[in-house]
Amino acid sequence: MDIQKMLKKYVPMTETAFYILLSLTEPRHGYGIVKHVGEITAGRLKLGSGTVYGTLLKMQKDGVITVFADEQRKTVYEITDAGKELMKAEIVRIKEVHSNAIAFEEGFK
Amino acid sequence: MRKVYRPLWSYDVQKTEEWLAEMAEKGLVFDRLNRWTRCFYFEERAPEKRIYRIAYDKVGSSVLPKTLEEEGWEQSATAGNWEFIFNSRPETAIRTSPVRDGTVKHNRFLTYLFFPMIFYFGAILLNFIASMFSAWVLEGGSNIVESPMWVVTYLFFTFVLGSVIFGIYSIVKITRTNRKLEGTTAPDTALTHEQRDIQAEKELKSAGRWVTKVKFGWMYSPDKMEQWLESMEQRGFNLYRINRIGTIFHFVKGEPRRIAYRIDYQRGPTQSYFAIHRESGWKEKFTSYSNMEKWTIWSKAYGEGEEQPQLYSDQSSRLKHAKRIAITYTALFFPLVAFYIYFIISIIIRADTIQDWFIWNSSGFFMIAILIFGSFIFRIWAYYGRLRKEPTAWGN
Repeated sequence: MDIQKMLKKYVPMTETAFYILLSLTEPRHGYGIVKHVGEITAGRLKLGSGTVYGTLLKMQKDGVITVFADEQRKTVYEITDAGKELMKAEIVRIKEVHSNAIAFEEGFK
Repeated sequence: MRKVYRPLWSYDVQKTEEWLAEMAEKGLVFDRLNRWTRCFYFEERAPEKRIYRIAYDKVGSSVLPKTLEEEGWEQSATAGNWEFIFNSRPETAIRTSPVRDGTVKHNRFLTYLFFPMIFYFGAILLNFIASMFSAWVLEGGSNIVESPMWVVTYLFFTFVLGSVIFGIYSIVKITRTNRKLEGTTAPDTALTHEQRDIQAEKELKSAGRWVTKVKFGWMYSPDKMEQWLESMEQRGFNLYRINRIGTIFHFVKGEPRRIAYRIDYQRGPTQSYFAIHRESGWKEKFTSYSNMEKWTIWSKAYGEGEEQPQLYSDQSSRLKHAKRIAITYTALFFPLVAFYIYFIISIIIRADTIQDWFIWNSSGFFMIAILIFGSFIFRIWAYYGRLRKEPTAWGN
């Protein structure tokens, strides 16, 4: 999948997809992703293993992530260069959302 | 350049990997593979120590993961979806490797092709042997006309026989390779069937604590099945084991338990599917025999006041999954229903009177078949409909 198609398909991302990719700053196991997302959201986001597995499978097909096996022959997920570009674009969008949220927060008080 | 013919190299990729390593040590370094002629081409160079990995990758890019590159893995050749990867570092220094999932899936696909071929050619073979037997043994060969064309018949017979033997050999070989590739991490489904404690079961039965229930076709309304299993647990009937084909459910009367049951469907899941769920605390109570249509019943205990654990944490992924199941099963059963309906209609058209039509006992059979397959389609879509209406109790 080329990067333009990928951006069209994934931006804006669901919260689940965003946090799964955000946890791939280093290669992780499937369950490692579930745990990490739980930690960085202070337990707010409890991702189901079926959701994570399905999302990872789809992302692998689209070339957002890639896989390899560790010493125990367990699958480890790693973000690709295209996946990094995708995250950069999504982070730019979320930053805009964030700055607008702060700028207009007052109006709702 | 040296050329070596190796027709069945892909049946045992591990053996081929070792062979490529041995060749490199002899000064023959693998250059490329011609998939169609099954020939490997080698470059004559100084002997080298190399470790090879052959991976099948239908999805994703052919670029190696960064982690593998950093550990010294390099691509040496690709042929179709096959990738040949090697590493020149000492084996003890390598901790990572390309995944085997693609190869395992490809091998499974091959066996799905060989099975129908064996059945089809096997039927031809039986037919042939039967007619030969009646012609030579029962009739003493008196009816056989001499003709040079018999050569064609015998050639055809040899071809069919050869195909059946080759098909069986292929399946045995590929299945063995897959077992090795999946290794120790293969799902331990044996737990639910084979590791039975016969003595303990006898005692439970004689103590009157053993309860057996029969359930058919529960995969077409999985949500109702989940609720039933959960309500059984709440009433103190603890699920003990399920038979291999998933129709008989054995319970033991004990304490009420808070256990979530989740039924999941996957097409050809690999070990990473079972790994992620097991590590998340799910236990597999049942997993269907077929890899192509894999149904698994997962269970997980949860405490009082705790939220019920979910396999699918957001409604959209749950719905998407249910829709996929519904579409898959509709595609599977709808052609059958359509065919039977067509058949009945053609019988009605041909019949002169209603009595005529009822004489055809086969139409009754077709009616039952339509009802059964039609109900499967109806139930699976009804399940999807129920899910859609469900209020989003959990996130998103």
